[in-house]
Amino acid sequence: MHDHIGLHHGPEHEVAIDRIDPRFRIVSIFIWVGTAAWLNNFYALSAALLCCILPAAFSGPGLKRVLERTGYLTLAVMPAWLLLPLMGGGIEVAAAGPFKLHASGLLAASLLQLKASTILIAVLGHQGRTPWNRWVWAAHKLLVPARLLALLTFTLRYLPLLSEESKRTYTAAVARGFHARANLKGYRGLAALAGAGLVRSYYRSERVGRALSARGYQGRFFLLRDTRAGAAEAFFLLSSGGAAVAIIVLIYWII
Amino acid sequence: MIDPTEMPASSVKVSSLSYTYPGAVSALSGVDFQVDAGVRKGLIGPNGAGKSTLFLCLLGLLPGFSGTVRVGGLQVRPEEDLTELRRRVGMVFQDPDDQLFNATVLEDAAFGPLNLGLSKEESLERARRSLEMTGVDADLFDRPPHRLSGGQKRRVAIAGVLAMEPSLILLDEPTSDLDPRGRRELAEILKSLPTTMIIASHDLEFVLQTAPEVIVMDHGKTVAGGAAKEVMSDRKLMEEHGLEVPHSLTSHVFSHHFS
Repeated sequence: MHDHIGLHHGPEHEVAIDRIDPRFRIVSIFIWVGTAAWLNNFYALSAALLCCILPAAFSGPGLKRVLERTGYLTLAVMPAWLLLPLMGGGIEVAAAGPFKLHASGLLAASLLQLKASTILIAVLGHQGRTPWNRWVWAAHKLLVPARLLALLTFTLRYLPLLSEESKRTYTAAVARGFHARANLKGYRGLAALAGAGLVRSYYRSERVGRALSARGYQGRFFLLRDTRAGAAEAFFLLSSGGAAVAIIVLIYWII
Repeated sequence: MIDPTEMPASSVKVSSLSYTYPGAVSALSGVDFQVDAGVRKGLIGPNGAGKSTLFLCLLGLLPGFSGTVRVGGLQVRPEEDLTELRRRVGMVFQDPDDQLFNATVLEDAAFGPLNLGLSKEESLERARRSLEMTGVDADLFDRPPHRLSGGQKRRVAIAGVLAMEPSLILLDEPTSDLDPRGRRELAEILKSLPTTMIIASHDLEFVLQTAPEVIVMDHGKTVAGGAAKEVMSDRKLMEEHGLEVPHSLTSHVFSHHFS
């Protein structure tokens, strides 16, 4: 199930990729993220994107949702699409008045889009329906410092609470006639609400700190869920890494 | 320093306890009381009486208090290692969200035992046992805490403390956010436990129901103590210290409802 801010909680319907140890999925994500960041070849990046779309289509979010999120990402990359083709020199592909579109700019924008999309789809494709605490466990096993992970888990644990508190505060403000308008008064009001939320969070953090101390917390981070890697994990990682290496070899040494 | 011959492990003795918050706000002034092993004692008083501050001192979370606090033979010294104190004293905070900080209910209940150095298996065993004791369904074990109802959170918070098997449990306003059924069920749970308890609450009926003895605090001092019915029937005492006689102790005549 998801909570209202989109975090996974508990296995609703496990998908195939959930059975792969999350440690191996994290390594695979890094392989594809690194590959996408390093490649600067249009065809190689397209191949990498296709390799990432395949598991994404069969993982938790489903292909439709993956494409939806990629669409949102495209909005973020839109400034690059608007500006880069207008810059630089090289072959002109189109002109409209003083604005000239250059092939090099279009290529640069498309490379940026491909990189961003590949990275996003790589992450989504490996996500499955695995609850976030198992990801934290996996990161811990991969030697990410325990305190960092403890901070992350506390943040994730309290985000829904902060979200609910913010909603309640906003509702109380609206009940007293507040309107969140796009003007100075509206912004000031929102800033006051945000400030109040910050102060409440500070005092909550004090109380949480005391409760942690009362239960003997000394900065150590424990995880109860364990898993053993097997042949499936080995095959998964070899396939993932092998595909990335094959793309690089094909593009840079053969083509 | 532990002197096991001095006091039973789960008794509490507070002598001349005083604490002033930074900024010269005096919260406790010479508090004295004792709670015998296995006794449930209510702690009542108006807002600002110092009840929560007293609890924090008992937990060793407020360094710089004067006076002595002993749990069993163990003197509470906040500047020293508090591991042994953590084994002996558990606290259920007013807002259960303040003490439910793990991803799932089961993990949260096992949090305390793990911190005390128990193995994963033993911690999980204690967690399951304590969750069962507080009536938490096994279906909820994998649920994240923020998806629980108020009553469920309260039970899980208590289970998390019980899993540490303390000899003294402090409860700070345990019935806030509970509906009448939750309140009743909590009272039954607390009465079924043999642990020494101090229950701080504005819910005087609840205190009367669960604690045979009470301490009254006001302005950082203990002003009265004794059998709950006797103390809480004293209208003058109760009203003088910002409280009132619980309804169940009010003599039930016609005029009581219509005066």
